[in-house]
Amino acid sequence: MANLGPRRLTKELAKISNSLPPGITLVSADNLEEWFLDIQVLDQNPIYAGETYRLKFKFSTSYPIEPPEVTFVKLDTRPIPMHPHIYSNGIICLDLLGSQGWSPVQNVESVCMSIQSMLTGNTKNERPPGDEEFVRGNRLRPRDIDFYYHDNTV
Amino acid sequence: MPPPNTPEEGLVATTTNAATNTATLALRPLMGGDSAAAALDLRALEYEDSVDENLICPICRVPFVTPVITNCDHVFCHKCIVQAHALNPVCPVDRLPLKLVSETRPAPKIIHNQLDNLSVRCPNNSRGCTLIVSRSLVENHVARYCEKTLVPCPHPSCNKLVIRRDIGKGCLHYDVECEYCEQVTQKADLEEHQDTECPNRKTECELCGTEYVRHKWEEHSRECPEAETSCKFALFGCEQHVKRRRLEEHALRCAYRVVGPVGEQLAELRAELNTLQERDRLKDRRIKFLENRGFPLPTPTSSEPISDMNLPEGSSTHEDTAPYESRDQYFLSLFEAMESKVERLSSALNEVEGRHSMMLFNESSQIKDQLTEIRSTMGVLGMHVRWLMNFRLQERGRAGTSAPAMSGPLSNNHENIIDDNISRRMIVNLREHPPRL
Repeated sequence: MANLGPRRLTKELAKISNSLPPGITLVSADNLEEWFLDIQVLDQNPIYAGETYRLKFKFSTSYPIEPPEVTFVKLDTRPIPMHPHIYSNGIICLDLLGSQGWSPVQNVESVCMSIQSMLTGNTKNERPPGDEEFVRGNRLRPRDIDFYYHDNTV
Repeated sequence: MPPPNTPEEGLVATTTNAATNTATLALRPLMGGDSAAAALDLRALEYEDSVDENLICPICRVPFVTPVITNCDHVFCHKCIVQAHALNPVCPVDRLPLKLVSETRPAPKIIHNQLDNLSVRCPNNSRGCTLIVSRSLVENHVARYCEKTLVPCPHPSCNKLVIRRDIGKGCLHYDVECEYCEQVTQKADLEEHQDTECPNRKTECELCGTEYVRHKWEEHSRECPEAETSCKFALFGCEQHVKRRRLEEHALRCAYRVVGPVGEQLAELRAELNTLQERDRLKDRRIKFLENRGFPLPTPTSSEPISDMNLPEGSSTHEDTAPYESRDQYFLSLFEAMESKVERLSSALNEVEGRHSMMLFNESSQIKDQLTEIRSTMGVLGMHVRWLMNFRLQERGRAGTSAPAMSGPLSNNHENIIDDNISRRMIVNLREHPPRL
């Protein structure tokens, strides 16, 4: 049903325009295809303290049946967070965002919170193995990458 | 920027598709309504109140439409779970493996009932229908009753849509010029154009200075504070016209304000009088009715039916104490009384008939007895006659043998005449003095 996605996004937008959990702010949602949100890590994790990161959500017309495409965006004031599952081009390796891990009951807010907690729980100030090579070679969209979820500790 | 796919737009688009499909069929209002109902998307509805989170589908985030429940006790819209399951055969909430056919079933009745009770706005609210109705009734409203539902144009060669209210006005799909902005628009859309689009649709009231929508000047003139209107005591003779906002002021010093309350009371009294007169007329009729009932029955044996009549009359006194509330009731009682009267008459008739037949029987049995008596007497008489005749014949035979030569045909005749005379005399004698047997 083609109408499902836009209608649900309208509702989600109405909801997150009013209230969002602490550390998450809506930057822009000019249309129902691409939204930007800022997230902060609120506890005293030294890796992320004082930083704000920007997330880009891209929705297909099949959302929420299919997962949105979520990546970090690099700007002057918005770096890509250091994390063993986040590549330096902003691609996030998170099972929640793959077709197998996704569930249509998830929403923008819950995805942001998942990413927030993924950062909060991290203690390694490093990139994933093979990051440089991946960033250089990858032309695929994140959802088409066959990630190997090698690390289930986070 | 407004969201590009608001519920209204979605609905209009779907109804258009459905209606063009049925445009070749007979274009009765209900036909169009049916196609609109088929296209009515419950997910596009606007809900009047905020809906309990428990009634909202976790997938589409609107109140459930045809909810199904899984074996793991999670509820989804049927369409949603089918779509989600096609991608990933697990329950979207707890990610347990899920078989769509065997492990889902329609949600319990109580969930359906709660959903049915949700108040929604009529999906035609963008066209001006302000109805708020429970969700279970909205389809019926849109399909059959809503004046603003788009239905196929009644004109056979026109395949456009028109709101149901205008269905009796023929095809309105011709171009007209808006009288205020000279823009050409279709007649069917003119009202909406003048309501919301026309750049010159609003004008300032010359009298009160407020803006109003032009083609609704009639409505405005009914409430414009500067428009002149007649005094509320006009009924009692005040001929003055004052501006609406000064109406109260005028009423306070209107020459007829003293008459006003009196007049109102007068009207009240008049109304009361009318009701009393009506009641009086009713009573009159009842009295007449009761009087008529007192007439004796026109039967010869009058004593018994009259004693009969006391009974229903006694019971009817009870009716009489209760006032007849309506004419119908009065006639009903009249009818009942008539019925009982007819019953009494028929029973009296039966009685009379019985008596008559008894009388008849008594009389006729007497006559029958006499008849048999007479018959037996007759038999006895016959026997006597035969005996006498025999005796006579024997006598004659003896005389014939003694003098046959003397007696010729003449003498024979003479004898016969005598014989006849004797027998005739005997009969007369018998008749006068019947023998006691």
